[in-house]
Amino acid sequence: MNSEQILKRNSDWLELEQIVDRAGRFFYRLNADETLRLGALHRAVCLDLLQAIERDAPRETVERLRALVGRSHNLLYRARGLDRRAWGAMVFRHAPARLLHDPAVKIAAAFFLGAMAVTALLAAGREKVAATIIGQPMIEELDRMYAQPIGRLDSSTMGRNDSLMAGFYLQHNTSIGLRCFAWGIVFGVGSLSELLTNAIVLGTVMGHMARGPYAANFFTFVTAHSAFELTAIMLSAAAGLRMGWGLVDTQGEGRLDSLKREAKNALPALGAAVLLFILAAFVEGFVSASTLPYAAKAAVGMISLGLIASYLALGRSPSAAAGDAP
Amino acid sequence: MHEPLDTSARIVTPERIVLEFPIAGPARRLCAYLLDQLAMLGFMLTAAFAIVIMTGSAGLGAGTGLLLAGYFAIVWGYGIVCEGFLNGQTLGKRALGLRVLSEQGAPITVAQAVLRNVIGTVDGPASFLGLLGLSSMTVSRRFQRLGDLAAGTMVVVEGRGDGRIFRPQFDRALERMIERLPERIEGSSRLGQVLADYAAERDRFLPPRRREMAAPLAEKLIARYHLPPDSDPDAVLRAVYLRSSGFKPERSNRARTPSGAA
Repeated sequence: MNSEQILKRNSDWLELEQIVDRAGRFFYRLNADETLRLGALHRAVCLDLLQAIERDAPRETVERLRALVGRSHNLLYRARGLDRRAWGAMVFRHAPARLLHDPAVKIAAAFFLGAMAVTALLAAGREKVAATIIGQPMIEELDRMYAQPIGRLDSSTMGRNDSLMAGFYLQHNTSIGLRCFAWGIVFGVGSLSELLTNAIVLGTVMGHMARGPYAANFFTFVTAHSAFELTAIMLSAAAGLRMGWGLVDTQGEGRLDSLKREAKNALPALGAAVLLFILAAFVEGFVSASTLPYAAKAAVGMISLGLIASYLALGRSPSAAAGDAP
Repeated sequence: MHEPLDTSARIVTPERIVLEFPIAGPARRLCAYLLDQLAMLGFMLTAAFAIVIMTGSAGLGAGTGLLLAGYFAIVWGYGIVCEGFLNGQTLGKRALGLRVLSEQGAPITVAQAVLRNVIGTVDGPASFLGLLGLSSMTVSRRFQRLGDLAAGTMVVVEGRGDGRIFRPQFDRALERMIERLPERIEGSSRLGQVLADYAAERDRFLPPRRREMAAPLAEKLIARYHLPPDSDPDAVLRAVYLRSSGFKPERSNRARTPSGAA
């Protein structure tokens, strides 16, 4: 490719550069003429690039054309934007179906509830078990925390503050959930250990409080938000397990392709988990810690359980499961 | 297709064009990461300031609650929002000319941004000194950390041509030498590329250095094309390149230079 050809083609290159610059990332910024020109210019410049490479054009010309073709390619073949109907189908049909039929969710639930029940029974049955598992200082701290009825002003601290605690739960618990998912990248083992750690600590605390004198205070506090929070931690671990399982069972694909597929499949569970953590934080901060009667808190707990169940029930229709890998 | 072991990713488009993206290495990405941490700190301070001004000292508890929620949103949302909606660039990446692309070379989706950023808390520089991510980068072909592998993304260095056009300088001696060469120059495309590179870059060197660089190849070309043995090696390389690529002196088309070719 000689200088004469380069100069002749340069006006096309400049025009394409201008169009690509103007569009940025968004096709709709172009008017009709520019859109039509984009296709023609892209093909022409692709040809120029091939010729430039073939005929040993100066490297800077080749580099410039490569960069230009790369940018117009990205504009033409960019990922499709958010389709509102597809999004709706994803959230209300495919995602619940996936959650309902995903073995990872069942495994996570079995491990979590099983470990929690076992440790709760152990801690409730024998005095020393709780101290062995979570340590004496934490037990004393728990007893001190729940010594007062929930919602009364505690003279030793600066007083009850719902929004502060809601913010704290939001930040603290959701971060735990997200990290629990992220550790799933290590073959799912990280998620599972995080899940079991949480189950054991929660079970022990439950068992210990049940046999202690402050059981009423404790259960009044945890009733309202436990449905949201426990489901959330199970789902985030299930998402991590699903992703990690992609590395183990490749279904005949390459291991990395399998990881990519399952990581994508895990996203609905992760999204649901994050949403539930945020709901749980608000319930925990504003309902659980309030002076509302126990019946009202129990009602909130039941309603949240009902919401979760009815969301999952959306996935039971056969059309929702269609097209989904098991 | 077998890919050579180097630091660029090749993508074949429907037009049969091979796009090459230089892959960003760990050092450059760490710099971008540190800049992003600074940016996040800046956002945090701004948010804290705004909250304090809005709530005043009366709403200390509520303000702290908001601040914690804001902290959560910034720590987990910064990368996702930036990469998902600003076409794969956080502020730090933009400053260093990096961009996240999907492995097919397309801009990344929000789902991919979520995956690589959430997993980033496990394999990023903040956990285990980043050893997990670093070891993943050394064994993966495109310097991908675990989050990149799961999301199917890679981080590339954005190339942008500077719009320069190569215009060779001709003189009488050079033109005479070109005329002595055969019409068609036989040679591998490797030779062509070497000659093209030399012709484009020689201006950056002083004449003695040019002669030194050109001499080994010029010796062989002089022998092959029966040029005078005492020819200037620099001129020989340029002459062969200009002959093979068909460049002509620019006398005729100087007037036709497009006005926009700045």
